[in-house]
Amino acid sequence: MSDKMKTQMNRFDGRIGIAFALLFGLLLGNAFLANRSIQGLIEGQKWVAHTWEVRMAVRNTQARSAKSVADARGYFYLNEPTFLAHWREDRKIINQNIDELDALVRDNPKQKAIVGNIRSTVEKQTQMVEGNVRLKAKIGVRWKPDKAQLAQSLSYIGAIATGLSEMDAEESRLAALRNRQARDNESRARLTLFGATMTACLALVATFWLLRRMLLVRVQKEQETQRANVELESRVAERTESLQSANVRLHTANQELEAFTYTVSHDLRAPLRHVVGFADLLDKKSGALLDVPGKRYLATIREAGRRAGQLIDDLLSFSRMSRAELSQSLVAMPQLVKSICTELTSENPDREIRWDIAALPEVWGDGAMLRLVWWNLLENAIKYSSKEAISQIQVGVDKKETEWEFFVKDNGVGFDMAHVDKLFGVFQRLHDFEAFEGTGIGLANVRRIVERHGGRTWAESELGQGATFYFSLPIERREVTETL
Amino acid sequence: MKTVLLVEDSKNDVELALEALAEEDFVENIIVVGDGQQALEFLLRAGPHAEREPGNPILVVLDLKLPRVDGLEVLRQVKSDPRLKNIPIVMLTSSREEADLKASYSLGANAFVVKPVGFEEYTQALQALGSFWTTVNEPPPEPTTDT
Repeated sequence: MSDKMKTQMNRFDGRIGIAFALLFGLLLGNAFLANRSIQGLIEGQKWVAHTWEVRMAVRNTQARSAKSVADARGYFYLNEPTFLAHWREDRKIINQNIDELDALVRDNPKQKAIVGNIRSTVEKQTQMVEGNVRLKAKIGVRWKPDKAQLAQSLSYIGAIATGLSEMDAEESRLAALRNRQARDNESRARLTLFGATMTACLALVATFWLLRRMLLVRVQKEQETQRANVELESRVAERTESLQSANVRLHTANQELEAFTYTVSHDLRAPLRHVVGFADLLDKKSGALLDVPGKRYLATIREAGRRAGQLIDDLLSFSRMSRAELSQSLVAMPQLVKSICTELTSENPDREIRWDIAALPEVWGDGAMLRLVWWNLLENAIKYSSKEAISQIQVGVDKKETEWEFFVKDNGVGFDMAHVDKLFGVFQRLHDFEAFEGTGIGLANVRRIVERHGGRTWAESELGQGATFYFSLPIERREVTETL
Repeated sequence: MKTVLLVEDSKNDVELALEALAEEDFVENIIVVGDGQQALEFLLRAGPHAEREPGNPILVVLDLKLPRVDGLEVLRQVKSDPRLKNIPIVMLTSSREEADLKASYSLGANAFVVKPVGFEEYTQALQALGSFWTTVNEPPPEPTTDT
C-alpha cells in the first residue's frame, strides 16, 4: 500500500472513531434523558397516588368523626351504653386516622398545621365528651348535656369538618397540579424517547453512509491500483518485447560482426600474405638485381605488409578477447606479476630494469586475461622508459571501499594529459612508430578486460615525467559482464 | 612412394609452398589438388584419380576454406572412413578463429598451423612440418581392409 493510501486510511479510521464516539455519547445522553423522564413520570404518579391517599384519609376521618358524633349523641340521649363503646372505638380510629394524616402530609407544612388543629380540636372534643360521660355516671341516666355544651360541641364538629374540608380542597388542588405535572412529564418522556430514537436512527444512517463511502473509496482505490498494475504489466511486457527485439537485433549484429572478423581473418590476411610472401621471394631470388631505390621500395613493401598483417592479427585478437567467456577464479596477483617481470626481464637483456613491487592481493577474475593486463602495462612501462639509462617501474595497490586500485608507474617519456582520452582506444598511439614499436592495441585490450571484470582504467602523466597507469577491480566476486 | 597431399585453392599459396620446400627432398612427392572434391577423389581413388597407384599419402595438408567441398568436410569424411582415418591431417589456414580451431580438433585434425605472413616464417613453418611428418614421424601402417 502506498503512503498516500495509508494516510487516507488513517484519516478514514480517525473519522470513523470520532463518528462512533459521537454516536456513543448521543445514545448515552438519550438513555440518561429517557431515564430521567421515566423517573419523573413515576415520581409524578406517586404524588398523584399520594394525593388520593390523603384525600381517602380525610374522607375516612370525616366519616368517622360524623359517626362518633352520632354515637355520642346516641349514648347521651338514648342512654344506650353500646354507643359509648362505639364512641370509644370511633375515637381510637379517629386518632389513628389523624396519625395517618399527619404522616401523609408531613412534607406539607400548611396541611400539617391543619392536622395539628384538627388533632387538638378532636382532643378537646374527646375530653369534653369524657367529662360528660363521668358527669352522667355520677348524676344518673337523666343527665343530658346543656345548651352551652351542645354549642361547644357543634363548634368542635364545625372546626374539625372545616379543617378536613380545607385539607381536602388543598389536596384536590395539589391533585390537579400533580396530574398536570404527570401529564407534562409523560409527554416530555415521550418526546425524549422519540428524540433519542430519532437521533439513534440518524446516527445509524450517518454511520452507514460513512462506512459505505469508505468502502466505495477503498474499492475505487483497489480498482485504481489494479488498473495501474495492469498498465504496468502491459508496459513491462512492451519493454520486454522491445528489449527482446533489440536483443535479436544485437544478436544479428554480433553474428554479422563475427562473419566480418572471419572474412578479415581469412580473406584479407591471404592477399596480404601473398604480397609479403612474394616480396620476400623477390628479395631472395632477385634482390641482387635491384638498384638501391628498388631495394628500398621492396623493403618498404615487405615492412608495410608485415605491419598490416600485425594490425589485422591484433584486431582479431582484440575481437576474440572481447568475445571470449570469462572464467572466474581467485587469481594471486603477486605470483602473476612476478612471473611477468621475470619474463620481461629476460626478454629485454640489454635493459637495466629496477622493479619495485608492493604486496598485492588475490582478486577474483580470469587469470589468463588479467595476465594480459599486467603484461601490456609492464611491457609498456619498459618500452616507454627505454630512453632512460635505467627503467624504474613501480607496481602498487590501494584498497578502496569496494575495489582494489592497482597502478604501474614508470620513469619514461610520459604523455600529454590533453590526449589521455585517446590512450585506451583501439590503434590509438601517442608516439610515432619509429620511436616506439607497437600497433596500439595493448591498452585497448587492457581497458576491455578490466571493464569486463567490472573495473575502470585511467592514467596520469606529464610529458617527460613518466606515466602512471591505473586499473581497478572489484574486491567482491561479481557476475561478469556479458560479452558483446 | 611416400606422397604428401596438399589441398590448396590459392595458386599463390601453392607457389609459395612449393618454393618454400624447393630445397627439400620430399618436394617431388607433393601432390597438389585445388579443392575438397578433388582431395576426396584422390584419397578414394575415384574420378580422375581412379588409375593412381594404391596406397594412402603419409600426410594431408588441408586448407580450411576450399571451393566445392570445404576443408572441414574433407576432414570429417577422411576421419570417418576406416580406410583413411589414420592419415595424419595438418590444417594449414589463414584463419585464427577459435571456432575453426575447435571444429578441426574435434573432427580429429592432427595439427593446426596458421600461415605466417612473411615468406621466411612461412618457409620455416612448412619445412618444420615437412621434416616432422615425412622424416621424424613414423607413418601409420596401411589398413588391412584396403586391397
